[in-house]
Amino acid sequence: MKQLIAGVIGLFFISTAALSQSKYKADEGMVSFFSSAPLEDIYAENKTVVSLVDLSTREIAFVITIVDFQFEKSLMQTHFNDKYMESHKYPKATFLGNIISPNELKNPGNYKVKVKGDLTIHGVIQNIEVDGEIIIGEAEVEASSEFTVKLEDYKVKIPRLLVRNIAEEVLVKINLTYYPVQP
Amino acid sequence: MKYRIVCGCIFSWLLSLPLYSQEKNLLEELNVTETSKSEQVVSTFKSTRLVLGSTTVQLAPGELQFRVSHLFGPMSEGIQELYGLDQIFNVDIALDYGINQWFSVGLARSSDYDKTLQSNVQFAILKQTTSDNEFSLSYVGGVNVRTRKYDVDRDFVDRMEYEHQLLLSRKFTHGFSAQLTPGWVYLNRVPTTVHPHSLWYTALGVSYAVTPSTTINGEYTYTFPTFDDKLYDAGKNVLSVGVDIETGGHVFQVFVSNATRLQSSGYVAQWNNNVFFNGDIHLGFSIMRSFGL
Repeated sequence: MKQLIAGVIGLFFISTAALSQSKYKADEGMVSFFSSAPLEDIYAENKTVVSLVDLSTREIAFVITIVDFQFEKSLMQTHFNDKYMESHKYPKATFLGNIISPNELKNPGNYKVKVKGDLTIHGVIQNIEVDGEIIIGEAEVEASSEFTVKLEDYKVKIPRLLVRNIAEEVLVKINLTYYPVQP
Repeated sequence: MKYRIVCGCIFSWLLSLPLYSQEKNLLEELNVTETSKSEQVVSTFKSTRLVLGSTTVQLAPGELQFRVSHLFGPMSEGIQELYGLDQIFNVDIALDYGINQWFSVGLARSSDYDKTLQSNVQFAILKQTTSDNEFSLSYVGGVNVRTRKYDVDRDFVDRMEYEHQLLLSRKFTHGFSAQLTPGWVYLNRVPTTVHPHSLWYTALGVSYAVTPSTTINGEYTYTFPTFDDKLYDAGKNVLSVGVDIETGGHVFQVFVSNATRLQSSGYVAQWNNNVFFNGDIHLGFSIMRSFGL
């Protein structure tokens, strides 16, 4: 009988250990993009990015709501949603990937990381690998990254009339502050 | 004995199963909460104007919009006057500035007979979202001054006009939006004693996107018959039909209308207008260009 109880308790501990605090969530992350073309610079930001990161499984995911991008001009936002991103068809951009280096991500400190995974924009999935930084603090985890996105890769079409207004590649910056998820 | 241990193991494994089954990938986990969130509905109309009237579209913070509208002579005058294009009935030049996402201010000046200078404010009260708000609601208020020279001396208050509008709009489908605009205009000075100072009206506007950059718009302004029925003429209520064409940085609007004035305080006062179905219509256009400040 004792062995039975020991077995139950033991296994229970093993199974819960995997669920110990390693998962963090960001609710108001920021993502911005910048397009620099001969005629016009376009900048937009979005402060409603949600993201989850699990430091033990090293999995990371985020969801960006397209209509929440704020532009300097209201017409740009209209264009962005109606013509280029077609946000009524593809309301979200998402990412799901893994932190592939470094191998250790536990102790507080700054880490240069490499993340690889699937970025979905405008309904098109592309496997990407980007560099970023993760800062593990006492209570929170901060993550940031900068990378370029080529519009063509995601089937975002720019009319020929506007090639001098919109760049073929845009610089994306992402800043996320995570707090522990209570299981 | 061994049998019991195995039993225990299986039992405890089953216990912890529900915990594991929650472990979907992180993206699925996010999508569960995210897809239920209410999102704002954007681009109900192409610009801050439907044809002649304002829309619930709000300027971005720091955005300065320059608009120039032209209204030509009657198309009924035929080729001799190039269907009205030889005469310019009204030019309205406007500057609007977005202070924040909910509030903007503007100035407009019309070349009409009264040389009206309009100052206005626009507040967004509600914005349509995918699940919480079924419609957008804005308030537009204006104080106008007629800056023309009078033959006799007039008190300054005689030059004033006041306007209040509620804009209620809804984007029904990706391409179709409509707006109902009840409003009130008060004119301190009117042409004769039979003309009313106070005018109530409701405008109904619709907009349909033919392509992502072109919409067809219609607008009918019904002035309530609250005054002398000899003066009231339902045929002079303003009907306008227009097309919005947007290019990279501007919106270009072409329209026909039986109005002869471009500011709402001018065309709500029916006696200024022609009768649409008598063919007394005018061609007009607006160009809007925004600058980020």
